[in-house]
Amino acid sequence: MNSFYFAQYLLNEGKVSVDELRELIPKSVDAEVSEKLIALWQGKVTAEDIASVGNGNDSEFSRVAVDKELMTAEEAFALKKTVPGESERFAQVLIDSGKMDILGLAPLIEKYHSLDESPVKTVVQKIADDSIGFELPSYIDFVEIFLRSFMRFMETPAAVSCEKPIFGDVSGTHVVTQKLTGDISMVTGLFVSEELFIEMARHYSHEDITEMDELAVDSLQEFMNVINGLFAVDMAKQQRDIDLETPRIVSNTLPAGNNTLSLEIISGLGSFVLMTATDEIGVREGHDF
Amino acid sequence: MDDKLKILITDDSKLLRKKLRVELETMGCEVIEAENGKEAVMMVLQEKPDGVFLDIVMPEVGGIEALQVLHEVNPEIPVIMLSSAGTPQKLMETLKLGALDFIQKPYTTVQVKKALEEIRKKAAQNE
Repeated sequence: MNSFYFAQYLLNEGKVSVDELRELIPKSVDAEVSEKLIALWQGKVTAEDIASVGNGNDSEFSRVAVDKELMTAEEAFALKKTVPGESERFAQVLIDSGKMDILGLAPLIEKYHSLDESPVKTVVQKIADDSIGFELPSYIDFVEIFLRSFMRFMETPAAVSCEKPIFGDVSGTHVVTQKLTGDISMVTGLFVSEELFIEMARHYSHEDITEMDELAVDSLQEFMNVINGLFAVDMAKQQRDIDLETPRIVSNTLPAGNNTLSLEIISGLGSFVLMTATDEIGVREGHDF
Repeated sequence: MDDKLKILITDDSKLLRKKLRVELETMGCEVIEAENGKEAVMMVLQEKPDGVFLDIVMPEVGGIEALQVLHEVNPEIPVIMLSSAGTPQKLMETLKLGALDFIQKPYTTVQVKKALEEIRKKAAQNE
């Protein structure tokens, strides 16, 4: 199992709530992960090893662990060089916030590493209702690529809420969509508040975007285009050919479409809705940007 | 041929054009821009660039159609296709139509540098 989805796994298992995820994911962005947690995550030490070393600081942990021959000096040195991923940072925030301790986390980390199924697939299957049938495998593939790419391009952690999103007031919101045609007919879209739209545009483009201008719109359209392109490349490996139409954006619109899957994405930048449907995602009462 | 290559970037994305312009100018190129395939054909006729970076997914006249027209007006012009959907099918389709190479978005500096070298070689052969 890769290092992206520990938060997702804990949410799926009911070990953290959606509200806790909203609180902790942004905090995990800058979390400094302890060497003992990295050692545990990498399987260098066990929970029993950590307990036997005691509650010292990081340098003391590594020194004692080497003294007790739980790790080699080389392994201890390598820990210092490790750049932790989203999962390890989320685990650290759980410890820092007092919601779990490292010994409590140990069996969960072990189970996470032995998962046969992606936690993203698990949550999408849970949220998808009966109206989504043969499209579901494609939707799952897309959401996996989306989430992984979102974390990569936006440089922030993210997970899919296990609760269906609630669409409130649509004023001050924007929907970026792109149609995919060919062997798979599908529309993908993002339903985002203006504030978060600008933040996401800034993160993706690395440009100083402060308002909803042409560059902001262009950035999120290009972001969707790149993600759908990665999905098309993935589908090509399954001998399915996909063409992309140009992305579009509509504002102040309640998104709707046939066989729609709507997922709330909780990220380090804020929450938004990711949508997939088999035809155009709605343009009711909105206007083209 | 002047050592300084004149390159035409064709993409409807302002962000892509801005980023790629910086890359190409850093590599010593003179850069001109077009927002769609129709503009690209006009620019090739008027500005006579040494090479073209051409996006596939664009409104009105897309990259594949533009590639065909570009090669009708200038069969020798080196064209590098850009696309987010870099599937083997798209790669083969554009190479058959005479594209020099294909870069998948998001591109890397190394890919751009390599493409530029290919344009330089082709432009030198055409002289």
